Amino acid sequence: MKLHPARARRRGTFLAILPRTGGAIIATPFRLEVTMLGRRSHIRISLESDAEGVLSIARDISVRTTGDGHLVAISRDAAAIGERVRVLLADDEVTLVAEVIESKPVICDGAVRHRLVMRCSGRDVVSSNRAGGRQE
Amino acid sequence: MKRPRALPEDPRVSDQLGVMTRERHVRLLNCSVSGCLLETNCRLPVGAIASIRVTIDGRELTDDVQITRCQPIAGAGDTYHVGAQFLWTQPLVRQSLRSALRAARGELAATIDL
Repeated sequence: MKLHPARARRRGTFLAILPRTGGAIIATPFRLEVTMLGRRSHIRISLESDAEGVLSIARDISVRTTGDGHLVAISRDAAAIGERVRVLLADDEVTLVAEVIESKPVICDGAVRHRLVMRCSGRDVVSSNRAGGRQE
Repeated sequence: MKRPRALPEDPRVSDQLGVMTRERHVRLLNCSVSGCLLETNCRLPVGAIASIRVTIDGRELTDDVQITRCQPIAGAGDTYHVGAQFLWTQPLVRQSLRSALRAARGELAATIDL
């Protein structure tokens, strides 16, 4: 399909409108462009040297502590056995470092959730910087 | 039919709200003022809120982002390209990735003008 140069420069997604007229579906000769947020037109800066980093993904969970130093949490996401995570207990305002030792799906109020059992292996100093934290 | 009685809950143990943070190693491929493109070896949930911390030229830069897309790279095994959009949850400070990017853009514009 050959596009007009002016149209070829346009960015975004085109949608064809297919109205129903008298039982037949006819494609109209015009198309609408879905307006984008404009972020794709922003100048991108590529990095010459690899910039390694860490992405910390936070999820709200329901958690309870057991007497033997384990945490039992209900989460929307499953976790891999042996994965190390940080758990912030909102009531106690303390951050724990834990290792997942069990993950299995359960039904909670008709929705599939994951029951995670974690073993506490340390405690973080509570810090205002959520990305950081020293392990004791 | 009699419903089975639920086990009595231990009053000493109760659920509380918590936040579980999982860390993923990523590689920053490119950046714009609105977001960045990352490469990682696991699938990330679209819509998730995350905090990114990268080291560029010895400077540690952080920012909060939202995952907007996660696309597997065909033929590259467990490699995913992840699009992340900056969240303006914190003001621009020297340690933020956005401010470093603005400075880099300024240098780039000056180079083009010369």
